[in-house]
Amino acid sequence: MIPRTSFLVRPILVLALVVMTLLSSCERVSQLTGLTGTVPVSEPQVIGPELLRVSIPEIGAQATLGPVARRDDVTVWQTLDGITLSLREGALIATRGLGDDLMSADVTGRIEMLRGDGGGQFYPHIRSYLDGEDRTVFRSYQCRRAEQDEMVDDGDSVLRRIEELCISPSDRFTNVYWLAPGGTMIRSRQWISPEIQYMETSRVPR
Amino acid sequence: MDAGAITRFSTTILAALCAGSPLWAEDDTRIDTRYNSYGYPGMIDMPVATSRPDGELGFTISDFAGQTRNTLTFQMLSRLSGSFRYSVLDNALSRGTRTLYDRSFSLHYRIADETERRPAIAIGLNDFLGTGIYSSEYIAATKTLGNSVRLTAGIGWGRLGGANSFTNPLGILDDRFKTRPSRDFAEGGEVEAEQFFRGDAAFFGGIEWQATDKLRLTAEYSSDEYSREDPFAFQRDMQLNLGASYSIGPLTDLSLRYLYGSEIGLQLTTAVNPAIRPNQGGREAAPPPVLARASQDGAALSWGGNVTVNVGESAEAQTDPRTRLADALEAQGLRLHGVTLSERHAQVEIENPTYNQTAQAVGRTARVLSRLLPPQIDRFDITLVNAGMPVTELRIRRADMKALEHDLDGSWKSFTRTRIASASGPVRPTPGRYPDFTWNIGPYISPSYFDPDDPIRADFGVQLGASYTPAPGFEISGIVRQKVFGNLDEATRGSNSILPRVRSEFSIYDREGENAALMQLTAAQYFKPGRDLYGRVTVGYLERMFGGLSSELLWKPNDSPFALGVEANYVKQRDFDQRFGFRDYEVATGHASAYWDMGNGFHAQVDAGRYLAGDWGATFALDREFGNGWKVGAFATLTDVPFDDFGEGSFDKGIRITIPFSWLIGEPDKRGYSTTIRPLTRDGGARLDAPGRLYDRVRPLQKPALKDGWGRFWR
Repeated sequence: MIPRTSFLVRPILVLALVVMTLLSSCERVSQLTGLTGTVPVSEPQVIGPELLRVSIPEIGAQATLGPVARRDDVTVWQTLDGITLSLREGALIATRGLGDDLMSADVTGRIEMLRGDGGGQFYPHIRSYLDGEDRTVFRSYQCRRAEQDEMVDDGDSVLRRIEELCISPSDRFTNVYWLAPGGTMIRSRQWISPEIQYMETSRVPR
Repeated sequence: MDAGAITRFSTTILAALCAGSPLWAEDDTRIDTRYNSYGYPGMIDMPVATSRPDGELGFTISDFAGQTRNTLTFQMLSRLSGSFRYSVLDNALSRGTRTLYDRSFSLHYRIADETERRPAIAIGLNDFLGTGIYSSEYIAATKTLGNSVRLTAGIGWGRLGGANSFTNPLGILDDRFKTRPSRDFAEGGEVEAEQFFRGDAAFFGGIEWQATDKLRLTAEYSSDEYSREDPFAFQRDMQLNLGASYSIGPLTDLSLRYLYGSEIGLQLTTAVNPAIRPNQGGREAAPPPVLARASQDGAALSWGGNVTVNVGESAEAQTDPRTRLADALEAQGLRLHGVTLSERHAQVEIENPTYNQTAQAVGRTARVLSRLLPPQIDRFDITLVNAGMPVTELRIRRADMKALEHDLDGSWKSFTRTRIASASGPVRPTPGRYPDFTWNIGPYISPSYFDPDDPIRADFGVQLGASYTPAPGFEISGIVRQKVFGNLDEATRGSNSILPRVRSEFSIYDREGENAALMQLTAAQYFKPGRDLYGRVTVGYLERMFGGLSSELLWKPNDSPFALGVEANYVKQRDFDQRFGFRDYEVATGHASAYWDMGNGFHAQVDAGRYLAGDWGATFALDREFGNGWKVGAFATLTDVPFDDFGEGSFDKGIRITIPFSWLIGEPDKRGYSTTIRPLTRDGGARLDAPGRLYDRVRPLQKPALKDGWGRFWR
């Protein structure tokens, strides 16, 4: 077996470490990380006042994102340095600019699961990535909601904590969602890709 | 990882240091295959029957008793690997008084995979071209026991049929197999097929044990008698070799051996797999969303004769919409070449100086157009332009951009819904696109291989390039190099060629062209005389050794794996100092070329015609091209120059490697480092190195390449 190395992930780590909050004036990440900048980073043109705080523990990244597009249940959130996350009703369907990006995902079953209240049923979940030669690779998962939700006191309200396990022939992940009584996703922990691992999102209260 | 030890030999392998981990680490912990001292899959000196992962480039340095072998091995196919080796054999000539420098090739083919009951089986040929120092053939079988132990047994001929040999069992088939004819190598380089599997044979075998994740212990019984090296280079006491290998990096290991009962050997192995990208998909900034809001259409730019000001928009909206479109494309690293709006359609010409995959340039263009164009435009006709030539037109429905942006299978769906064809009609450049002036400055490295006095030399310096484009396809460009440091000037071996010395005096060019060498200064006109025809006429200082006139015509239908081209040149040899002067030699040279995209990344090319020394013949080339831009290939040229007149090596041949910068840095970058490794540089079969050849300009913009790269359309 060839042991995993992480030294090439470092540039991403360094990049991510200095990802700053959207609203505070801060240095441009690309100038600090030696990116050659063949594709210039454009200022995010935010379309709303909401903010999403995201951290990616595996690469030590933290950022606050603003919405730059919202269409058909999908909101695209962007960092100051040009990384975007696309969420369909809170469920991650794509990332761009992270390196090992999630290119697309079908989250139909997940959204239905989050709307319902029972666990136990399996439903399919498909994700696509690019391989080292720019070919699209699909990975197919079977997912299931944990039997028991947990109720968490979040100060103002009680959040429903839902755990979801997804398994493919080669890997598995466990996502966690915290929903407000109305069904709005307040926080989540969602898997991105083997190199990037999980992201943790939380809505920034206004 | 100790870089110092391996950079000594080859700059081409620098990238190996960056060898990444597999994208998906496999759970399979079974003992894997390593490289032996000859650099092909094996144990210590002996082969095994298994292979390395498809596409891997391995590099080994092995040394014992003054016998140094540097080997580059490419796993060309899952089952087939090829090796090129440069060896330094101390005390191997003239009864141990002289050193022998030798180049050799090997092939290793896995016939059968291992199953529960049957071992893997492989067949191999060593040193079948050159002077035959390592000439041998083998059949090996390898069986894995459990997860960490592997047994190999085999039978060898030639050098591998030395120790405790017996009469060739193939003699049953034909008595001729019983004797191995001596090699009539003359100048080397000929395939010595009549030797294959002939003469006495011998058994070899061994056991490998992966003791820990990092440590492997190996014992083998060698069938190699080392009859050339023993006794002058070293004394053989037994046929048993013992070794230990320790992994010091994901694809790098260091091996220590006790060889033939008398010698200690060392080997460093490293490898890189071009198919595995260290930065995964790339770190470039995300593309802009197709639309910010479903209702955004109304806020688009206003076009036509009058520029209207949208309510609530600032002065930004008052600028020329063409300028805003050009700016928006430039923000994506793209260049607007032309734009024409009709009632429902937009015709947009773009140039792509940034993205390695043209499909990514197309996707980002279509996103920008979706955001900026007025709502009544429902179709984008995007024309890809290179050197002023419109190559391909893609017809994309605006509704598909909206519908597929967040689709699970958006990549394939958008490809199938896009009409892709050869561009017809002339380009219509926007005012301001021409004239244009660009320049760049950067470092260069110029290596030289296999001079026996110093097998690797290199110059490093600064290169200045400039280009002026007064009109579409008309390009005046030049490149000047200034050496900063290096040792190419230390080469003292002169040419002994009896042909016109068109290439063999390269060391004089290196030496005398140290200061402000004019590498290229040309005026070129590119044009498109027909729908699938592309043309080029170039005059000036074409390359560092020749100047003159070069003309080319290429027929390349957009969706075809085949292309044909003709090239006719009249050139004169340049002065050694690479300024403006010429020497006396001039020649008409040219080729007819056939190109074939064989699929799965393999590309074949045949060029037949007249070469620089006035010789007639053909070049055969086969390259494997990875989706990320890596290329590894080999070529050989046979001409009417007799092998004896050609000199050492008999004919021109070599391998070539291209490493894309984007693979290393993880961002789009169309530049790359290319190198050609020739065992010998001589004058027969030498081709003019004309700049701006059409096939490489046109092919990346056409449908097959777009299809291969369409995964990046939404990237």
